[in-house]
Amino acid sequence: MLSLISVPPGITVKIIQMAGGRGVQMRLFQLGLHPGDTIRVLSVGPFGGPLYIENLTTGVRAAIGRGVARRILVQPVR
Amino acid sequence: MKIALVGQPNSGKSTLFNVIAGFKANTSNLPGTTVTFTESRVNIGGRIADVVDLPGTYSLSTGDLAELETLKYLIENDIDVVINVIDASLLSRSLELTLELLDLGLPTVVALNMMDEAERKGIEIDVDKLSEMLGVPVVPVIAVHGKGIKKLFEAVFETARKNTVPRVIRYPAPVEEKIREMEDSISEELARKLKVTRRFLAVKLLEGDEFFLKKVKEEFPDIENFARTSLKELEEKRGIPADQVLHSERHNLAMCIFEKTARIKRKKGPTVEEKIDRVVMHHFWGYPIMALVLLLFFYLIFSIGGPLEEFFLGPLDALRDRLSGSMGSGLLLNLIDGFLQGIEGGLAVVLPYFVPLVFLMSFLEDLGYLPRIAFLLDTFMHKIGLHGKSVIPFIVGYGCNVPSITATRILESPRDRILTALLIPFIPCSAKTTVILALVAFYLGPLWALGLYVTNIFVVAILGRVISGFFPTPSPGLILEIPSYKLPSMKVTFLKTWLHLKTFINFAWPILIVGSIIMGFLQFLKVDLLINAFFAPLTRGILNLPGEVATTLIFGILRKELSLIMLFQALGTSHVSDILTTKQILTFTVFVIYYIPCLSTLAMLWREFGKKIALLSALLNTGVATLLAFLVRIL
Repeated sequence: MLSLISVPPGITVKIIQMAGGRGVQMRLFQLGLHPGDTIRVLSVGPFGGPLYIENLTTGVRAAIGRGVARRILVQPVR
Repeated sequence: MKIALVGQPNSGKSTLFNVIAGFKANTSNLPGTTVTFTESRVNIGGRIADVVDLPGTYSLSTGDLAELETLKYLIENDIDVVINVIDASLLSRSLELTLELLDLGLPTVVALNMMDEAERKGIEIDVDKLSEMLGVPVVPVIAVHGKGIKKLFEAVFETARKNTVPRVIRYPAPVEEKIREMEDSISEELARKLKVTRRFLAVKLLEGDEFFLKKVKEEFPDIENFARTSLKELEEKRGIPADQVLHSERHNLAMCIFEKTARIKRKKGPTVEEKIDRVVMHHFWGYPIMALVLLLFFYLIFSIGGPLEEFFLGPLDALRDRLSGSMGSGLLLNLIDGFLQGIEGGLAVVLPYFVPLVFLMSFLEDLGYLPRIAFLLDTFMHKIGLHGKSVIPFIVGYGCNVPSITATRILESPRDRILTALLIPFIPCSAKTTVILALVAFYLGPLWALGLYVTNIFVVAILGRVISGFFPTPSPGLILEIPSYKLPSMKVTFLKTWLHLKTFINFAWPILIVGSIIMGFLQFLKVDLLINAFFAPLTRGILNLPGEVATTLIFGILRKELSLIMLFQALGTSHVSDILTTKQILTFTVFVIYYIPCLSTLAMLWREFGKKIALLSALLNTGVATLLAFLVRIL
């Protein structure tokens, strides 16, 4: 299990668990990011910029700040 | 009959509202556009109904300020039918809100919007099966082209007539059992007091929703304890942390419905959109492209505005010169001259830049490029102690500061809202852009104008850094949905431009004209000399500008364009360069961009954040303006 932060662009991963405060969790749920969804990192902003990810399960695309991405634990998918 | 449009952000609610109510609600391809309620009495196929366009909500949770407002609206106003507008290309996520809505027990119709989008993404939806599973009518619609609207409202009126309360959608057994137990422990009287159904309250309590838990605890502490204990049991049984369990269950239920009713013909290669985003959102190429887009944006505005200004200015000036020649002097001349000045100001100066700016802004908004800018600028915003969605109010601020102040409502933490609201008046609005283009770009050249915008960004950055020093608490991370690109429909873009133009003609232009007449009157009474003398230390002393400029700045508080038009009147000519040196023009413009926000912005700040913040903002702006204009003067 690794943190979404360390996932390079183009790799597909599965969300295992979301650490972090309730507020952040709720907002990720609202956006349609749930444990069990498969997501792909499309691009990473420079100088500690946000991650641009696509949720392959629900088709939602979103920009996630580094601090938030660090607390999303994922697992690579073959 | 009362109809409410409820749906997730960017699902097309306002577009649907505009189709039936005539163009009233502002729309853009930017989640969180609508932050206030827009209501309108509408005649649909001969039947009168009050339709309200609610702000977009992802769920009916009470944690988020905007969502709490929408939930309260739904339960406090007796709504006959709820139209749940869904972006068909994001069906699975949208269903989560639908499930919550059905628990509210209001007659509901689902408008499956953007069917063309879903098709483009290879998603095929079995509408009848979906309608059967949800137990409510589902009508496919493409709001922007007005397709399926008639059928939608036939279903709406039918549902209203039958007043059918949607049936309960069951969660998996263990969860449903807990909800059932919770529901039984809630008295009908308690539910009625909170204006919700017993099931909705039970689900909310099991979600660990603080708002409802607190409300219940006041009178029925035992129910609150019962909720917390059953939440614990659910946590062990489902192995998901207590406050996530209900949300995950709803997500799975929505996914299950989605899988049973939709089929995705996954295209093999990356879609066109992914290819575009691979370049536009690239960590390096994204920035030059953004710079290019913004450069093109301003170049187009200037290249359309400049000649138009030239075209209108000529004859009007000639008219005024001939008039003053024949009339000699006297009060009447001053008043008429003031009146013509106001007309000329609006026609020759503001409109040539205002119309292209609003048109291109609407086009850019509808395209869906603005959230991409938010992504690219986030790193930069992070440096000034701000990030998250506060980029969106800033972008809106370039059009006008007033709606961008209300747009801060989409920010979760009050710290962010205040910090963003204090920075917004520094963002040059369309009126300030008119001043920049008509003066700096016209007399010093477009590069200088662009330089002003770039330095403006740095000023906002430094200020953000300084102010956020006073608000140490870190602001939440960026979580921002990036909508899919949409080719803006020319009809909607023209309509949006006309909406802004109408507000300018109905409100701003009269003020310009009246302001010019008053200016003429003051000039006649030589009162303006008193004002100029009073502010001489500022205008002549610090800024090395001619005294007459003082009165124009006073009027500029009313509306920023006014300071420009008053300048022409104060200097007695619209060819400013005859009197002011290029440096003085720059000093004047810098001062006008940064000094006290316009009256409507201050009023909005007062309404949203109270007296203290409004006053602070006025002082902050004027102080920074004086400092910067002074710097320009000595450099």
